Amino acid sequence: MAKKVRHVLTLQIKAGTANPAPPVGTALGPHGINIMEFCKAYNEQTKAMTGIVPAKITIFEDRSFQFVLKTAPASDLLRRAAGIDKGSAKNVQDKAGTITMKQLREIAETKLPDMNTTDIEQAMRIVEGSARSMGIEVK
Amino acid sequence: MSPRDDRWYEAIVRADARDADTAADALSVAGAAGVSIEPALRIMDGADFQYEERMDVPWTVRASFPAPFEASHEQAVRDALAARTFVAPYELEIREAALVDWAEEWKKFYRTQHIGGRLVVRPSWEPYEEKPGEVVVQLDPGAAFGTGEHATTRLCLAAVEAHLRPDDRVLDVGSGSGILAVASRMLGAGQVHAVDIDAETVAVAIENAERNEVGEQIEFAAGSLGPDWPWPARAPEGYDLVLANISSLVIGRLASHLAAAARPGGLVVASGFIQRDADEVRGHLAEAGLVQIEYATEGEWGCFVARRG
Repeated sequence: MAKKVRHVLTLQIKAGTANPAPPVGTALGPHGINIMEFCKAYNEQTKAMTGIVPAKITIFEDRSFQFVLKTAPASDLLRRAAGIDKGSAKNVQDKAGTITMKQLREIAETKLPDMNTTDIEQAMRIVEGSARSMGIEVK
Repeated sequence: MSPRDDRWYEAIVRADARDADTAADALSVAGAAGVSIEPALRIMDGADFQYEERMDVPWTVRASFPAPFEASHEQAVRDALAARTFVAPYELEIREAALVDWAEEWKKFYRTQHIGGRLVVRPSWEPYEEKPGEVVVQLDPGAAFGTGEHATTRLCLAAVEAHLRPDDRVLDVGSGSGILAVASRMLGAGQVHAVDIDAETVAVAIENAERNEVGEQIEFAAGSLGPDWPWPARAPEGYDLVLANISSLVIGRLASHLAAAARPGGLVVASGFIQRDADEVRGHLAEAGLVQIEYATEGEWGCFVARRG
Protein backbone atom coordinates (compact mmCIF):
# COMPACT_ATOMS: atom_id res chain seq x y z
CA MET A 1 0.00 0.00 0.00
CA ALA A 2 0.91 3.62 -0.18
CA LYS A 3 3.57 3.56 2.46
CA LYS A 4 4.75 7.13 2.54
CA VAL A 5 7.11 7.73 5.44
CA ARG A 6 6.11 10.07 8.27
CA HIS A 7 9.06 9.62 10.59
CA VAL A 8 12.11 7.47 11.21
CA LEU A 9 13.97 6.96 14.46
CA THR A 10 16.35 4.53 16.09
CA LEU A 11 15.68 3.43 19.66
CA GLN A 12 18.64 2.21 21.63
CA ILE A 13 17.21 0.10 24.42
CA LYS A 14 18.14 -3.08 26.22
CA ALA A 15 17.10 -6.34 24.61
CA GLY A 16 13.82 -7.71 25.90
CA THR A 17 12.95 -4.72 28.08
CA ALA A 18 10.80 -2.46 25.90
CA ASN A 19 7.82 -0.99 27.76
CA PRO A 20 5.55 2.03 27.22
CA ALA A 21 7.55 4.22 29.64
CA PRO A 22 10.16 6.58 28.23
CA PRO A 23 12.09 6.42 25.99
CA VAL A 24 9.73 4.17 24.00
CA GLY A 25 6.61 6.10 24.97
CA THR A 26 8.08 9.56 24.50
CA ALA A 27 9.67 8.61 21.17
CA LEU A 28 6.77 6.68 19.62
CA GLY A 29 3.70 7.94 21.47
CA PRO A 30 3.54 11.35 19.80
CA HIS A 31 3.42 9.59 16.41
CA GLY A 32 0.37 7.57 17.38
CA ILE A 33 1.77 4.12 16.81
CA ASN A 34 0.54 1.13 18.78
CA ILE A 35 3.11 1.13 21.59
CA MET A 36 2.25 -2.24 23.10
CA GLU A 37 2.45 -3.90 19.72
CA PHE A 38 5.93 -2.50 19.19
CA CYS A 39 7.05 -3.53 22.69
CA LYS A 40 5.76 -7.08 22.31
CA ALA A 41 7.36 -7.51 18.89
CA TYR A 42 10.68 -6.00 20.02
CA ASN A 43 10.85 -8.06 23.20
CA GLU A 44 9.99 -11.22 21.32
CA GLN A 45 12.65 -10.65 18.68
CA THR A 46 15.34 -9.74 21.21
CA LYS A 47 14.50 -12.24 23.96
CA ALA A 48 17.65 -14.29 23.39
CA MET A 49 19.92 -11.22 23.11
CA THR A 50 21.78 -9.13 25.67
CA GLY A 51 22.92 -5.54 25.90
CA ILE A 52 21.63 -2.66 23.81
CA VAL A 53 19.91 -3.81 20.63
CA PRO A 54 18.88 -0.78 18.57
CA ALA A 55 15.63 -0.88 16.63
CA LYS A 56 15.23 1.36 13.60
CA ILE A 57 11.56 2.21 13.32
CA THR A 58 9.89 3.56 10.22
CA ILE A 59 6.50 5.17 10.81
CA PHE A 60 4.23 5.56 7.81
CA GLU A 61 1.64 8.19 7.05
CA ASP A 62 -1.25 6.16 8.39
CA ARG A 63 0.73 5.49 11.61
CA SER A 64 1.43 1.90 10.74
CA PHE A 65 5.10 1.06 11.26
CA GLN A 66 7.87 -1.41 10.75
CA PHE A 67 11.14 -1.92 12.54
CA VAL A 68 14.41 -3.71 11.98
CA LEU A 69 16.98 -4.60 14.59
CA LYS A 70 20.42 -3.09 14.18
CA THR A 71 23.85 -4.09 15.37
CA ALA A 72 24.90 -2.85 18.83
CA PRO A 73 26.31 0.71 18.89
CA ALA A 74 30.00 0.87 17.96
CA SER A 75 30.72 2.46 21.33
CA ASP A 76 29.28 -0.57 23.12
CA LEU A 77 31.40 -2.95 21.06
CA LEU A 78 34.50 -0.77 21.57
CA ARG A 79 33.98 -0.63 25.31
CA ARG A 80 33.55 -4.39 25.50
CA ALA A 81 36.68 -4.92 23.39
CA ALA A 82 38.70 -2.52 25.54
CA GLY A 83 37.36 -4.09 28.72
CA ILE A 84 36.03 -0.77 30.01
CA ASP A 85 33.23 -0.84 32.54
CA LYS A 86 30.40 1.41 31.53
CA GLY A 87 28.70 1.65 34.92
CA SER A 88 30.12 4.65 36.68
CA ALA A 89 32.05 6.47 33.97
CA LYS A 90 31.93 10.12 34.90
CA ASN A 91 34.50 11.12 32.41
CA VAL A 92 35.20 8.69 29.64
CA GLN A 93 38.70 10.08 29.18
CA ASP A 94 39.60 8.74 32.62
CA LYS A 95 38.57 5.28 31.58
CA ALA A 96 40.46 5.22 28.32
CA GLY A 97 41.71 1.86 27.16
CA THR A 98 43.20 0.30 24.09
CA ILE A 99 42.12 -2.18 21.47
CA THR A 100 44.13 -3.96 18.78
CA MET A 101 43.87 -3.41 15.04
CA LYS A 102 42.37 -6.90 14.83
CA GLN A 103 39.62 -5.97 17.30
CA LEU A 104 39.00 -2.77 15.34
CA ARG A 105 38.55 -4.79 12.16
CA GLU A 106 36.18 -7.22 13.91
CA ILE A 107 34.03 -4.38 15.18
CA ALA A 108 34.01 -2.73 11.75
CA GLU A 109 32.95 -6.05 10.21
CA THR A 110 30.12 -6.39 12.75
CA LYS A 111 28.95 -2.83 12.07
CA LEU A 112 29.36 -2.93 8.30
CA PRO A 113 25.74 -3.93 7.47
CA ASP A 114 24.50 -0.78 9.23
CA MET A 115 27.03 1.66 7.81
CA ASN A 116 26.83 3.94 4.82
CA THR A 117 29.74 2.11 3.22
CA THR A 118 30.60 -1.38 2.02
CA ASP A 119 34.32 -0.66 2.22
CA ILE A 120 35.83 -2.32 5.29
CA GLU A 121 38.80 0.08 5.35
CA GLN A 122 36.47 3.06 5.48
CA ALA A 123 34.32 1.33 8.09
CA MET A 124 37.45 0.84 10.19
CA ARG A 125 38.29 4.52 9.91
CA ILE A 126 34.78 5.46 11.08
CA VAL A 127 34.94 3.07 14.05
CA GLU A 128 38.43 4.35 14.87
CA GLY A 129 36.98 7.86 14.96
CA SER A 130 34.38 6.71 17.48
CA ALA A 131 37.12 5.05 19.52
CA ARG A 132 39.16 8.23 19.56
CA SER A 133 36.21 10.29 20.73
CA MET A 134 35.82 7.85 23.63
CA GLY A 135 39.48 7.98 24.57
CA ILE A 136 40.16 4.47 23.29
CA GLU A 137 43.41 4.01 21.45
CA VAL A 138 43.99 1.54 18.62
CA LYS A 139 47.39 -0.20 18.70
CA MET B 1 9.23 5.55 52.78
CA SER B 2 8.66 8.27 50.23
CA PRO B 3 5.98 7.68 47.62
CA ARG B 4 7.13 6.25 44.34
CA ASP B 5 8.28 8.94 41.94
CA ASP B 6 7.01 8.15 38.42
CA ARG B 7 8.49 11.20 36.80
CA TRP B 8 10.87 11.04 33.89
CA TYR B 9 13.44 13.49 32.62
CA GLU B 10 14.70 13.98 29.12
CA ALA B 11 18.08 15.19 27.93
CA ILE B 12 17.67 16.37 24.35
CA VAL B 13 20.76 16.99 22.28
CA ARG B 14 20.56 18.64 18.87
CA ALA B 15 23.78 17.79 17.13
CA ASP B 16 25.45 17.40 13.78
CA ALA B 17 24.40 14.13 12.12
CA ARG B 18 27.98 12.86 12.43
CA ASP B 19 27.86 13.41 16.19
CA ALA B 20 24.55 11.62 16.82
CA ASP B 21 26.10 8.29 17.81
CA THR B 22 28.65 10.00 20.05
CA ALA B 23 25.92 11.96 21.82
CA ALA B 24 23.79 8.82 22.19
CA ASP B 25 26.66 6.94 23.75
CA ALA B 26 27.58 9.77 26.12
CA LEU B 27 23.97 9.97 27.33
CA SER B 28 23.85 6.22 27.71
CA VAL B 29 27.04 6.28 29.79
CA ALA B 30 25.49 9.06 31.89
CA GLY B 31 22.81 6.57 32.95
CA ALA B 32 19.99 6.96 30.43
CA ALA B 33 17.37 4.21 30.48
CA GLY B 34 17.34 4.42 26.72
CA VAL B 35 18.12 6.75 23.87
CA SER B 36 16.34 7.60 20.65
CA ILE B 37 18.16 8.98 17.64
CA GLU B 38 15.94 10.97 15.33
CA PRO B 39 17.53 11.86 12.00
CA ALA B 40 16.51 14.89 9.98
CA LEU B 41 14.62 13.51 6.99
CA ARG B 42 13.93 14.53 3.45
CA ILE B 43 10.82 12.64 2.41
CA MET B 44 10.85 12.14 -1.33
CA ASP B 45 7.79 12.69 -3.43
CA GLY B 46 8.80 9.88 -5.78
CA ALA B 47 6.47 7.07 -6.66
CA ASP B 48 8.17 4.69 -4.23
CA PHE B 49 8.07 7.17 -1.32
CA GLN B 50 11.72 6.91 -0.42
CA TYR B 51 13.37 9.15 2.11
CA GLU B 52 16.90 10.17 2.87
CA GLU B 53 18.58 11.13 6.10
CA ARG B 54 19.81 14.71 5.85
CA MET B 55 23.35 15.38 6.98
CA ASP B 56 23.05 19.17 6.65
CA VAL B 57 20.46 19.66 9.38
CA PRO B 58 20.95 18.81 13.08
CA TRP B 59 19.64 15.47 14.32
CA THR B 60 17.89 15.02 17.64
CA VAL B 61 19.15 12.60 20.26
CA ARG B 62 16.76 12.09 23.14
CA ALA B 63 17.69 10.27 26.33
CA SER B 64 15.32 9.31 29.15
CA PHE B 65 16.20 9.25 32.83
CA PRO B 66 13.87 8.05 35.56
CA ALA B 67 13.38 10.06 38.75
CA PRO B 68 15.13 10.95 40.98
CA PHE B 69 17.04 13.19 38.61
CA GLU B 70 18.86 15.81 40.59
CA ALA B 71 21.58 18.37 40.03
CA SER B 72 24.25 15.69 40.29
CA HIS B 73 22.58 13.62 37.57
CA GLU B 74 22.27 16.67 35.37
CA GLN B 75 25.94 17.39 35.91
CA ALA B 76 26.78 13.79 34.97
CA VAL B 77 24.98 14.32 31.65
CA ARG B 78 26.89 17.54 30.97
CA ASP B 79 30.20 15.91 31.95
CA ALA B 80 29.60 12.84 29.81
CA LEU B 81 28.93 15.05 26.77
CA ALA B 82 31.86 17.35 27.55
CA ALA B 83 34.22 14.38 27.70
CA ARG B 84 33.57 13.61 24.02
CA THR B 85 34.97 15.11 20.89
CA PHE B 86 32.20 16.53 18.71
CA VAL B 87 32.58 17.49 15.06
CA ALA B 88 30.35 20.54 15.55
CA PRO B 89 28.78 22.43 18.47
CA TYR B 90 25.62 20.91 19.92
CA GLU B 91 22.67 22.16 21.96
CA LEU B 92 21.56 20.46 25.15
CA GLU B 93 18.15 20.81 26.75
CA ILE B 94 17.18 19.03 29.95
CA ARG B 95 13.55 18.96 30.98
CA GLU B 96 11.00 17.00 32.88
CA ALA B 97 8.95 14.79 30.56
CA ALA B 98 5.19 15.23 30.61
CA LEU B 99 3.51 12.61 32.77
CA VAL B 100 1.64 10.62 30.19
CA ASP B 101 0.27 7.09 30.15
CA TRP B 102 1.93 6.18 26.88
CA ALA B 103 0.28 2.75 26.79
CA GLU B 104 -3.01 4.61 26.20
CA GLU B 105 -2.02 8.00 24.80
CA TRP B 106 -1.43 6.86 21.21
CA LYS B 107 -5.06 5.81 20.93
CA LYS B 108 -6.20 9.41 20.75
CA PHE B 109 -4.98 9.56 17.15
CA TYR B 110 -7.72 7.19 16.08
CA ARG B 111 -11.41 7.83 15.86
CA THR B 112 -14.46 6.13 14.52
CA GLN B 113 -14.74 6.92 10.82
CA HIS B 114 -17.75 7.01 8.56
CA ILE B 115 -16.87 6.13 4.99
CA GLY B 116 -19.26 6.28 2.06
CA GLY B 117 -22.92 5.80 2.94
CA ARG B 118 -22.94 2.95 5.45
CA LEU B 119 -19.42 1.82 6.28
CA VAL B 120 -18.04 2.56 9.74
CA VAL B 121 -14.48 1.76 10.85
CA ARG B 122 -13.96 1.89 14.57
CA PRO B 123 -11.14 1.03 16.99
CA SER B 124 -12.11 -1.53 19.63
CA TRP B 125 -11.84 0.91 22.54
CA GLU B 126 -14.39 3.35 21.10
CA PRO B 127 -17.98 2.50 21.93
CA TYR B 128 -20.28 2.73 18.95
CA GLU B 129 -23.95 2.18 18.57
CA GLU B 130 -24.61 0.66 15.20
CA LYS B 131 -27.43 2.25 13.23
CA PRO B 132 -29.71 0.24 10.95
CA GLY B 133 -28.06 -0.51 7.62
CA GLU B 134 -24.55 0.29 8.80
CA VAL B 135 -21.63 -2.08 8.43
CA VAL B 136 -19.18 -1.62 11.30
CA VAL B 137 -15.63 -2.88 10.85
CA GLN B 138 -13.65 -3.10 14.06
CA LEU B 139 -9.98 -2.48 13.45
CA ASP B 140 -7.20 -1.75 15.90
CA PRO B 141 -4.24 0.02 14.36
CA GLY B 142 -0.95 -1.82 14.44
CA ALA B 143 2.14 -2.36 12.37
CA ALA B 144 0.26 -3.41 9.22
CA PHE B 145 -0.68 -0.72 6.70
CA GLY B 146 -4.39 -0.07 6.51
CA THR B 147 -5.24 1.39 9.91
CA GLY B 148 -8.05 3.35 8.26
CA GLU B 149 -6.04 6.49 8.89
CA HIS B 150 -4.91 6.92 5.32
CA ALA B 151 -6.67 8.65 2.45
CA THR B 152 -6.06 5.75 0.07
CA THR B 153 -7.66 3.26 2.48
CA ARG B 154 -10.72 5.50 2.70
CA LEU B 155 -10.84 6.00 -1.07
CA CYS B 156 -10.71 2.25 -1.67
CA LEU B 157 -13.32 1.54 0.99
CA ALA B 158 -15.64 4.10 -0.58
CA ALA B 159 -15.07 2.52 -4.01
CA VAL B 160 -15.83 -0.95 -2.64
CA GLU B 161 -18.99 0.28 -1.00
CA ALA B 162 -20.13 2.01 -4.19
CA HIS B 163 -19.39 -0.82 -6.63
CA LEU B 164 -19.60 -4.11 -4.76
CA ARG B 165 -22.68 -6.18 -5.50
CA PRO B 166 -23.95 -9.04 -3.35
CA ASP B 167 -21.96 -12.26 -3.72
CA ASP B 168 -19.21 -10.65 -5.82
CA ARG B 169 -15.89 -12.49 -5.93
CA VAL B 170 -13.21 -10.15 -4.61
CA LEU B 171 -9.42 -10.29 -4.80
CA ASP B 172 -7.40 -7.93 -2.58
CA VAL B 173 -3.78 -7.58 -3.70
CA GLY B 174 -1.46 -6.08 -1.06
CA SER B 175 -3.98 -6.57 1.69
CA GLY B 176 -1.95 -5.11 4.59
CA SER B 177 -4.13 -5.09 7.70
CA GLY B 178 -6.87 -6.82 5.70
CA ILE B 179 -9.22 -3.87 6.05
CA LEU B 180 -10.38 -3.89 2.42
CA ALA B 181 -10.94 -7.65 2.33
CA VAL B 182 -12.79 -7.61 5.65
CA ALA B 183 -14.96 -4.66 4.63
CA SER B 184 -15.71 -6.30 1.26
CA ARG B 185 -16.95 -9.43 2.93
CA MET B 186 -18.97 -7.52 5.50
CA LEU B 187 -20.53 -5.45 2.71
CA GLY B 188 -21.81 -8.64 1.09
CA ALA B 189 -19.06 -10.08 -1.08
CA GLY B 190 -19.12 -13.84 -1.72
CA GLN B 191 -15.67 -15.34 -2.04
CA VAL B 192 -12.88 -13.04 -0.87
CA HIS B 193 -9.22 -13.82 -1.51
CA ALA B 194 -6.43 -11.62 -0.19
CA VAL B 195 -2.68 -11.71 -0.73
CA ASP B 196 0.24 -9.73 0.62
CA ILE B 197 3.93 -10.34 0.00
CA ASP B 198 4.60 -9.77 3.71
CA ALA B 199 3.76 -12.99 5.61
CA GLU B 200 3.71 -11.21 8.99
CA THR B 201 1.13 -8.79 7.68
CA VAL B 202 -0.99 -11.73 6.51
CA ALA B 203 -1.12 -13.02 10.09
CA VAL B 204 -2.36 -9.62 11.27
CA ALA B 205 -4.99 -9.55 8.52
CA ILE B 206 -6.27 -12.98 9.60
CA GLU B 207 -6.60 -11.72 13.18
CA ASN B 208 -8.49 -8.66 12.00
CA ALA B 209 -10.84 -10.84 9.95
CA GLU B 210 -11.46 -13.12 12.93
CA ARG B 211 -12.17 -10.15 15.20
CA ASN B 212 -14.89 -9.16 12.75
CA GLU B 213 -16.17 -12.73 12.57
CA VAL B 214 -15.43 -13.12 8.88
CA GLY B 215 -12.18 -15.06 9.37
CA GLU B 216 -13.60 -18.23 7.89
CA GLN B 217 -15.01 -16.49 4.85
CA ILE B 218 -11.81 -14.86 3.63
CA GLU B 219 -8.77 -16.71 2.36
CA PHE B 220 -5.52 -14.91 3.07
CA ALA B 221 -2.12 -16.00 1.82
CA ALA B 222 1.39 -14.61 1.46
CA GLY B 223 2.01 -13.78 -2.18
CA SER B 224 1.04 -11.58 -5.09
CA LEU B 225 -0.17 -11.80 -8.66
CA GLY B 226 2.17 -13.31 -11.24
CA PRO B 227 4.88 -15.78 -10.22
CA ASP B 228 4.13 -15.26 -6.51
CA TRP B 229 0.50 -16.35 -6.81
CA PRO B 230 0.02 -18.55 -3.72
CA TRP B 231 -2.75 -20.90 -4.84
CA PRO B 232 -1.55 -23.25 -7.62
CA ALA B 233 -4.95 -24.94 -7.94
CA ARG B 234 -6.82 -21.68 -8.45
CA ALA B 235 -6.22 -19.47 -11.45
CA PRO B 236 -6.06 -15.74 -10.67
CA GLU B 237 -9.05 -14.89 -12.85
CA GLY B 238 -12.76 -14.32 -12.88
CA TYR B 239 -12.99 -11.83 -10.02
CA ASP B 240 -15.79 -9.28 -10.05
CA LEU B 241 -13.69 -6.82 -8.08
CA VAL B 242 -9.89 -6.63 -7.85
CA LEU B 243 -8.43 -4.26 -5.24
CA ALA B 244 -4.87 -2.93 -5.35
CA ASN B 245 -4.01 -0.19 -2.89
CA ILE B 246 -0.25 -0.33 -3.38
CA SER B 247 1.76 2.30 -5.28
CA SER B 248 2.05 3.67 -8.80
CA LEU B 249 5.18 1.56 -9.37
CA VAL B 250 3.60 -1.71 -8.31
CA ILE B 251 0.35 -0.96 -10.13
CA GLY B 252 2.44 -0.31 -13.23
CA ARG B 253 4.21 -3.60 -12.80
CA LEU B 254 1.04 -5.59 -12.04
CA ALA B 255 -1.42 -3.82 -14.37
CA SER B 256 -1.74 -6.69 -16.88
CA HIS B 257 -2.12 -9.21 -14.02
CA LEU B 258 -4.75 -7.05 -12.33
CA ALA B 259 -6.68 -6.85 -15.58
CA ALA B 260 -6.39 -10.59 -16.17
CA ALA B 261 -7.63 -11.32 -12.64
CA ALA B 262 -10.87 -9.43 -13.31
CA ARG B 263 -13.63 -11.12 -15.28
CA PRO B 264 -14.66 -9.38 -18.51
CA GLY B 265 -16.75 -6.47 -17.30
CA GLY B 266 -15.22 -6.78 -13.79
CA LEU B 267 -13.70 -3.84 -11.93
CA VAL B 268 -10.20 -2.99 -10.76
CA VAL B 269 -9.77 -0.48 -7.92
CA ALA B 270 -6.25 0.93 -8.03
CA SER B 271 -4.87 3.35 -5.45
CA GLY B 272 -1.82 4.12 -3.37
CA PHE B 273 -0.47 6.83 -5.68
CA ILE B 274 -0.30 10.57 -5.40
CA GLN B 275 -2.27 12.66 -7.86
CA ARG B 276 0.88 13.77 -9.66
CA ASP B 277 1.33 10.16 -10.82
CA ALA B 278 -2.31 9.69 -11.85
CA ASP B 279 -1.61 10.03 -15.60
CA GLU B 280 1.09 7.40 -15.40
CA VAL B 281 -1.22 4.98 -13.54
CA ARG B 282 -4.07 5.74 -15.94
CA GLY B 283 -1.73 4.90 -18.83
CA HIS B 284 -0.71 1.56 -17.29
CA LEU B 285 -4.33 0.61 -16.68
CA ALA B 286 -5.38 1.60 -20.21
CA GLU B 287 -2.50 -0.36 -21.71
CA ALA B 288 -3.72 -3.41 -19.80
CA GLY B 289 -7.17 -3.00 -21.35
CA LEU B 290 -8.87 -1.36 -18.38
CA VAL B 291 -11.27 1.51 -19.01
CA GLN B 292 -11.45 4.22 -16.37
CA ILE B 293 -14.93 4.73 -15.00
CA GLU B 294 -14.10 6.77 -11.90
CA TYR B 295 -11.27 8.82 -10.44
CA ALA B 296 -11.60 9.94 -6.82
CA THR B 297 -9.15 11.96 -4.75
CA GLU B 298 -8.55 12.87 -1.13
CA GLY B 299 -5.73 15.23 -0.24
CA GLU B 300 -2.78 14.48 -2.49
CA TRP B 301 -3.91 10.88 -3.12
CA GLY B 302 -5.86 9.34 -5.98
CA CYS B 303 -7.91 6.21 -6.66
CA PHE B 304 -9.04 4.78 -9.99
CA VAL B 305 -11.93 2.45 -10.62
CA ALA B 306 -11.55 0.83 -14.05
CA ARG B 307 -13.53 -1.76 -15.95
CA ARG B 308 -12.11 -4.65 -17.93
CA GLY B 309 -13.41 -4.40 -21.48
